[in-house]
Amino acid sequence: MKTGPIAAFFAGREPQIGIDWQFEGFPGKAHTFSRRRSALVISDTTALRYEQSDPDVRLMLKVRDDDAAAFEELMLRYQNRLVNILRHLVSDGDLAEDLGQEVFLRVYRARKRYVPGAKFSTWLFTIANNVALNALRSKSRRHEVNLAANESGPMGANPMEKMLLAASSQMPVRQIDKSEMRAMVREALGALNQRQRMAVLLNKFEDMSYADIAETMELSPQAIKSLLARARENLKLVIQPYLSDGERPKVK
Amino acid sequence: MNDDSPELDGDTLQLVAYLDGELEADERRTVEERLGTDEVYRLEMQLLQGAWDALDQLPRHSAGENFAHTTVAMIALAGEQQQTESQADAPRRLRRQWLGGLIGMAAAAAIGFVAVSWSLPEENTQLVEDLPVLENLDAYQQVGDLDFLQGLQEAGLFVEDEVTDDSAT
Repeated sequence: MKTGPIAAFFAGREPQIGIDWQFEGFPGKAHTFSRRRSALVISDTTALRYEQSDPDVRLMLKVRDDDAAAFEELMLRYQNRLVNILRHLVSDGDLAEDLGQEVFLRVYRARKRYVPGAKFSTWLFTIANNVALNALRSKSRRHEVNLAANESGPMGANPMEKMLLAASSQMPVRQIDKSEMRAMVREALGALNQRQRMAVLLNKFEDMSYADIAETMELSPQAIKSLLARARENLKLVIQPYLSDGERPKVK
Repeated sequence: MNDDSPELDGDTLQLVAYLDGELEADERRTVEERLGTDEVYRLEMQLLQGAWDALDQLPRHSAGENFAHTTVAMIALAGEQQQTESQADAPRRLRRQWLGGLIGMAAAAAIGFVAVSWSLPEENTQLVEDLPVLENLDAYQQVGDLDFLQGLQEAGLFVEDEVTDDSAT
């Protein structure tokens, strides 16, 4: 395992073993990180299975034993993936990084209570989903983002309807280039509601199964199946006209 | 659009699950058979996949150069604040612990006292019970025979003297 500035940082400042870290805000599986999961008891068999099959779980168990180098390794493995997902969720680079740090802070605070009841990535992105959700709600309360009652994305109320209308309109068209295509896809994703967007991102970028996404988002696999089908249907309806014609209607 | 939109088309549900590799073997076979014969169904699958592949156009964002360093600094700061709060609270906790210990000891002592008091016979109790004998001890010693006394009692010759105000004085 490589060492670096983080391990060196900790070498001069021993992690305070024995301090009772208060685990704030994220009820979950450590086992305190979800209201639903806090009542679950992870069997030794399950914990052992994940420990044996998931190298990131083994790293986290070392973090539980105050191994700073292990924490550094986990951060390096996941920071880009985490920030990428968060960036697409909240559409704000600085906020995405802040939220990413919050996620790692919560992971570190929860380390003493950690028992592997899922893949490490599932656990991490469960925390990320919760952190992002809270952030979007805070933004909504501060009226910085106009969220509709259905928790639409940061593009305001009924963005999908607007995009569908534009895609199906008879407005004059023009050729689009690759950068515009990229922007259009970004807008199409942003037009999904928060849950659809999260499910799509986890499926697309993290290659998560329906079961893992369900666990991350605290929904049933059947709900995830519907969520993804609806999201992909929406994406198809918006993106397809651009793919077929290579042309972009003017968006009102 | 939200999750409460009108019912999804069953074909869309099935095709998306198929594209995601989430169907059981028999369901997958059913879909594949239909894809071979149903052109509209096949086109729908292509459109869904095409839109999905378009997401590859999305940029892959990375964490900033200082992300790891600032995250560690933030965690260390949070740990120091935690430790400071814990140390500030230490005298209060220590007082609570001492008080708790004293109360516990006092309670244990009280319980022990009551238990011992209840279990051991009181010396004076025995004396009070023996008082009638002590008052007439001289007379009983002159008789000197306990069986004889019991016989007299059974014959009803020992009568309780009635206590009057005059006799009490």
